[in-house]
Amino acid sequence: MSSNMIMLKSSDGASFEIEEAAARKSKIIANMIEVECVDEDKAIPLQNVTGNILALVIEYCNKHIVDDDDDVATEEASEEEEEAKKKKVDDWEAEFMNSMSLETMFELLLAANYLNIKSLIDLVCQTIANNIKDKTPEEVRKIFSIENDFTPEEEEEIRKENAWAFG
Amino acid sequence: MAMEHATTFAIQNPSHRFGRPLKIKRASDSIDSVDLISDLPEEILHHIFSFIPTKFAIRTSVLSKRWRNVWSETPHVSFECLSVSPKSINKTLVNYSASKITSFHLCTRLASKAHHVNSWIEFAMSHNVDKLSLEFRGLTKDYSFPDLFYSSSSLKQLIVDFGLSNKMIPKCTVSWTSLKNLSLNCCKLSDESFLNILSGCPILESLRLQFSDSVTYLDLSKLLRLRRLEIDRSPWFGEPMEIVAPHIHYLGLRNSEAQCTLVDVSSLTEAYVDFSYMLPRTSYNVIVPLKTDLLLAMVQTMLAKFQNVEKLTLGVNFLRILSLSWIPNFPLPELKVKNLTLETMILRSVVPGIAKLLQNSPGLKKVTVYTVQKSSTVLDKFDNSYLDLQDMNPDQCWKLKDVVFPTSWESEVVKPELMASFMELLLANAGTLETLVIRLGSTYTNRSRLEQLLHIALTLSHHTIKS
Repeated sequence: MSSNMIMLKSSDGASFEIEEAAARKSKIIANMIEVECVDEDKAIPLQNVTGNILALVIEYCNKHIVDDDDDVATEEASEEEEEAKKKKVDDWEAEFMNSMSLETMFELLLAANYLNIKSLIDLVCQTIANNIKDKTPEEVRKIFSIENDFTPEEEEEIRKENAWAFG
Repeated sequence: MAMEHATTFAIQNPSHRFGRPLKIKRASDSIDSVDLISDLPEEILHHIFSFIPTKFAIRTSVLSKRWRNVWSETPHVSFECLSVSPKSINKTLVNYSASKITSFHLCTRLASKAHHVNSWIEFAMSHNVDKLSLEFRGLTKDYSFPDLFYSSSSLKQLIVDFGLSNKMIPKCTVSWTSLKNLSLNCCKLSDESFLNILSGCPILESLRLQFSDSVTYLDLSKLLRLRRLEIDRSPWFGEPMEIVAPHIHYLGLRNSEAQCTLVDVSSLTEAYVDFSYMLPRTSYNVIVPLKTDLLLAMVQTMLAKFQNVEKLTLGVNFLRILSLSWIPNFPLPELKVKNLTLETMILRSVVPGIAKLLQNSPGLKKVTVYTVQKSSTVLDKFDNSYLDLQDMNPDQCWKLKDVVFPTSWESEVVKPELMASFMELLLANAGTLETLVIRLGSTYTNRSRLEQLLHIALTLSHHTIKS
C-alpha cells in the first residue's frame, strides 16, 4: 500500500502524502515518476505552490482519481451510470469552487497551470468565465477589482470600435 | 446517445464543508481585494475566453489598458451573428491579430448574407483553423460553400448544421487531410458528392450524419481509421439505405421506418439502435401490415449483424418491433452480447421482445434498464392493429404468466409492483446475469419511493439467485 504513496512538499515546507494515482493527474509529477526522479522516502519539492493551495490541489486530485482509469476499471459502466457519476462530480466541483475566495481561486489556477493538471485548469477557467459572460465591463471590473485606467474619452473610443459587442 | 437529463449545474450557494485541514478565506471575506486576474499570463486569459462567446471577450477590451488587446490574440473565436450586422463583425475581425485559430464557431442566418459567410469561412481557413463549426439558421436559398472551404490541411474537426436542409455538393476535389471528426446536420448530399467528400478525408475517425438522408449507399470501406459512425435518419424520408462500414467499432443508428441494410459491419463491438418516433401514417390507417413485416425483417437482419457485439443498447421502438416476432415465431440469432442496455417504457408491447432477446443471449453479464418517458398512444394503436390483422387477441399475446403489463405509459412513476414483475421477467429469462441495473427516469425525485423500489429489486434478485 505504502509503495503507492508519494510525498509532496510545498514551498512553505508542508509535507503531504498522496496516492501515486492521484498525483499522476499532474503531468509534471507523472513525468517525474516516469523518469524515476522520485525517491521512495524523499518528498517532491514544489517550489511554486504553498501548503494551503497544495491541500486544495490534493483534495481535487483525490476526488478525480478514478477518471483516468476509466478504460481499465469501469469498462462495463453504461452511459447512464457515467452520467450519474458525472453529476456527482459536477456537484462536488461546484461546491469546491464555491467554497473559496477569488484570491484562493487564482492561486489555485496558477498552481494547476504549474503542475499541468488540465481538468483543474479547465474547472477554474470555466468558473472565471462564468463571471465574465453576460456581464457588463463595469460588473466585471467590480467582481475582479480591476482598476479602470482609461479616460472616459478613450473608453468611449474603444467601445465604438466594436459597438455591437456592448449592446 | 444523449440522455434527456443532461443537467448543467450552476455554481450554487455555499453549503457547509467540514474536514478541510486548512482555513480557506471565503468569498465574502475579501473586501479589500486586489486585482489578480490582470496578472494572469495571456495564455490563461485566452483559455478563459475559450469558454465564452467572443462578444464577451471583446467587452474586456475596455476593462483597463492591460486588457486593451488581449481578446484580439485569442485562438478561440465564437460568433453568434443572428442580430448583428455582418459589417460590424467584419469591422471587428480587422482588429483580430492571432495567426492561428484553434476553434472557430459561427452561428448565423444565410439569407442575403452568403458572401459574408464566405468571407468568414475564408478568414477561418486562412488562420489554419483546427476546429470549425458552422451553424446556419433560417432559409438557406441554395447556398454553396466556396471552393477554398473544401481544402485544408489543418482542419481536424468539422461540424456543419444547416438547420433547414441545404445541398452540400463540392464542385472541386475535397482535401481535408487532417480531418478526424466530421458531423453533418441537414446537409443534402448525393452518393457521388459524398464519396468525393470522404475520399478527401483519409484519416477520418468519426462520422456523424444527422438528417442528411440523401445518401443511399454509404461505402466507408476505404476509411481504414473510421471507428465511430452515428446516423440519425429523418422520419419523413423514405429512401432505403445501405451501409458498408467494415472498420467501425461503434454504430449509433436512429433509423426511420425506411429500409436500412447493414451490408458489412464486421468489426462492430458496440451498437446503439432505435427507431425515431415512428409511423405517424398509421394513425390514418394506411398499409400497416406490409410496413410491419418489413420492419420486423429489418430488425432481425440487424440483430444477425450484431452477433459479435458485446455492448448493445436498444431503444423502445426497436423492442416493440422485435416483440412482434413473438407471434410468427421467427428464429432470432444467438447474440454474444455481454452488456445489454434497454431504453424503454415498461409496456406489454416490449415484453415479448425483451424476453426473447434475453433467451438468445447466453453470455449476458449485465442488463441495464433505463426507463424513458414518451407518448405512446399512436404506437400502441399500431401494435394492436397489426394483431387484429393477424387475427390474434392482444391480451393473450402480451400476457406472461399472470402478469399483465400496461398498454400505455400513463403515470410518470413506475408502480413498484409493476417494476417487480418486470424484473422478475428479466431474471427469469437471463440465466447468466451477474448485474441488473434499473435506472429510473429523471422524474424520480421522491427519495422514499426510490428506496422502496430498490428494496423490491434487492429482495427479488436475492430470491432468484437462491432458487
